[in-house]
Amino acid sequence: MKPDAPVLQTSGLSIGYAGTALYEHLELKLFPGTLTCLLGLNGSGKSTLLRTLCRLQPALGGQIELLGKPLQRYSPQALAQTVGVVLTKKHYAGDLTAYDLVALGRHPHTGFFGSLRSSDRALIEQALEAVGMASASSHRLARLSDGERQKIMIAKAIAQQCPIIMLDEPTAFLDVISRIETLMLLRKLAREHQRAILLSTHDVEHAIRTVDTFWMLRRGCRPVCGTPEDLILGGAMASLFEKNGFTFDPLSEHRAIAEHARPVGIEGDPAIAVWVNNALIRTGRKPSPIAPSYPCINCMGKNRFTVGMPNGACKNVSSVSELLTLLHEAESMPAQPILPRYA
Amino acid sequence: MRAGLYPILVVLMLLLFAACLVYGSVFIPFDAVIKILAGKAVERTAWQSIVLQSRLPQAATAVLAGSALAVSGLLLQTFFRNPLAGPSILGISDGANLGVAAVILLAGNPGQYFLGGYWAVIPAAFAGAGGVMALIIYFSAKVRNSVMLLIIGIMIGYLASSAISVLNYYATADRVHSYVMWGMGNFSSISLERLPLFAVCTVVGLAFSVMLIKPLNALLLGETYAANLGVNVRSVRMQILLCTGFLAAVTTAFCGPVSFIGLAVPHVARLLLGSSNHRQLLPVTLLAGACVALLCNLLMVVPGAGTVLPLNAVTPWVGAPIIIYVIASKKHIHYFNEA
Repeated sequence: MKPDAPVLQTSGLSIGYAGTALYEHLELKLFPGTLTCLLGLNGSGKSTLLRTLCRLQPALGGQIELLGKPLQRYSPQALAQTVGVVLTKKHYAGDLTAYDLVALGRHPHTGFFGSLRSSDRALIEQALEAVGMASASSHRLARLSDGERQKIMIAKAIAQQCPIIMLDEPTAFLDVISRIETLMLLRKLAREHQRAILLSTHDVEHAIRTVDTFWMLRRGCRPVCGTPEDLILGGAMASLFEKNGFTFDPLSEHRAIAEHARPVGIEGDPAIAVWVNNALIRTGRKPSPIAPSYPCINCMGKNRFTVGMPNGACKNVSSVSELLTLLHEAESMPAQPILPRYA
Repeated sequence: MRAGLYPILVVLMLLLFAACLVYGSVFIPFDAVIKILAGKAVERTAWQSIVLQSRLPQAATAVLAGSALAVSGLLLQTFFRNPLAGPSILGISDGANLGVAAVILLAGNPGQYFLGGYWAVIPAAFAGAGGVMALIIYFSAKVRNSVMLLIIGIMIGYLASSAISVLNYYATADRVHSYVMWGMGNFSSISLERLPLFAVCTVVGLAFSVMLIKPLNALLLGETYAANLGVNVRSVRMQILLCTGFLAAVTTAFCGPVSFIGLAVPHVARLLLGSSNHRQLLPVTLLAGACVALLCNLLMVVPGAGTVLPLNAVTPWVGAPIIIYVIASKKHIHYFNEA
C-alpha cells in the first residue's frame, strides 16, 4: 500500500437510523499518520458516523472500504485487528488493573482462552509507556482520574495494534490539561506510529491547534472536509455556529461570538489585549479594529488602559473590571445628547 | 493474583470434604471412618453404609452443586453487571421449581417421588428452567438495559411462584409435603449410583463456562467495547444465558432450589482475589463455591441433637451477611462501580 493511500474510504455512504438518513452520498477518506477530527453540534450525527464506520451500526447504503477491502467482508476478529475504538461510555471494570485493561486490547490477537504470550506482554507494556502510564500499570481503574483512565483506554487501542483508531469524544469529562494532553498524545500516535486517527469532539479551540483535518457535520448540509485553517478562512467554521445566533470570529482566538454583539476597538500590547478580548467577548461585545464610531481601548500595560469614547472623551482605568464598568456606563448613556456636541 | 490462593482453597476444600465424611448427625469415631474409607471392616455395618452410601455422595454433591451454582452466579453477575444477579433471582430456579411442582403436585408420587419420579423430576426441572431461560433470552434481544432485564427475570419468577401456589392449593397434603421438602434443598438426594450422571452434567456445564472466560472479560467493558474486541456479542449473550441456565437447572433438578450460594460466592471470590479478571476469578469462584457448599453441609448438622436442618435454612446465614457487607462497603469495593 502506498503511503498516501487512504486506509478508510467511503463511496456513496448513507448513514442514519432505519428510515431516516442523516447523510447521503458521503465520500470520506482517512489517511495514515493523520489526526482527523469530526466537528458538529449535538445531534449532528458525529457518533452515528463513527459507529457506522466501525460497524457498530449498519450503514443505510453505499460502501465503506478499510485497507481496500469492503467493511462487510471483515470477520469480527479481522475487524477488531483493523479498527480500535475508544468510547465515552462508562464501564464496570473498576476492579481491573490498568494492565489488565490494556491486555484486553490484545483480545483480537490471542487464542481461544486469551492467554498472553511474551510478545503480547511486551506490546501491553509499550502501550502503557506510550501514554505515559507505565508506572500505574498495577493500579485499579477505579482509583485513577478520568484523564488517566482515558489514557488507559487509548493504550488499549494502541495495544490492539489497529491501523485505524476511532474515538468518540475522548476529551469529554476531562479537565483542560488532560484535554490538551490527550489530543497531543493522539497526534503523536498518528505521527510516530502512522495510525489514522478519527475523533469527535466539541473542543473546537484545542482541536484547531492539534488536528490535521476536520470533517464538519451539519444537518441538512454536505459535510465539509479540510485543514482547520482552510475551513476558518473559507468561512465553513463560521457556518457551523450560525444556527444558534452565534458567529464564529477567526480573529478573536476562535471564539464563538454573539451575533449582535456591540463592537469595541482594541489595540496595544497583544499579551494584554488577549485578555481584554476575552473580557469583551465574555460580556457580549465584539473586539474590533480601531474606529471612531465606537469605544476603543488602548492596552498600555497590565493596569493601564486608555478608553477613547466616540464623543472624543478619553479616560484612563487601571483594571479590566473598571474597564468593563466604564464601557457599561458609556453604553447605557442616551446617544442623543452626545451627538450634537460631537458634531 | 494473590499468590497461593488456589492451593489454600484446594486444601480448605479437602479439609471440609473430610469433615463432611467424619461429622454428621450420627456419631462415628474418626478411626472408624478412616477404616471404612480404606475398605476395611468396622464393628457396625450401619456405619459403613452411612459413610459410603450417604456422607460420601452428599459431600461430592455439595462440591459439584456448590461450584455449579457459584459459577452460574458469576456469569450472571458479569452479564448483568449487577451484584444482585444470581440463578435464584433471575427466575431460572423458579422456572425449575414450577416444572418440579407440576410433576410432584399434579402427577405426584408421594413420599418416593425422587425414586419413582426421578426421571420425571429432572426433565421437568430442565423444562421449567429452560422455559424461563427462553423468555429471558427473548427479552434480552428487546431490552438492552441489563437492570431492566433483571427486573423482568424477577417478575417471571413471581409469575412462576404464583403458578406454584395455585398448584399447591389444589394438591393433596402429602404431595404438598413432598414438594415443600424438595423446596428446602438438599445435597443428600443423590445416591452413589446417580452421582456420575450429576457429575457429568455439572462438569459439562462448568467446562462450557471455562470456554466463556475470554468473552466474559471483554464484556466487563460493556457490549460495545466487547464487539470492537472481536466478540460476537449476540452469540455470547446467548451462550452465557444457556450456560448459567444449564448449571442452575442441573443443580435445581438434583438438589432442589438452593438459595444464596450462586449469589454470594462470586463476591467472596472477588474479595479474596481482588480482581474481576475471569481467568483467575472463575476458578476461584468454582473452588470457593465448593467450600461454601461443604461448609453449609456441615452447618446443617445440629450439634448433639442427631438431626439435620434443611439446606435452605442454613445458606441465608452464610450468604446474606456477605451481600450486606459488599453493598455497605461500596466505597472500598470497586468491581461494580462505574469507571
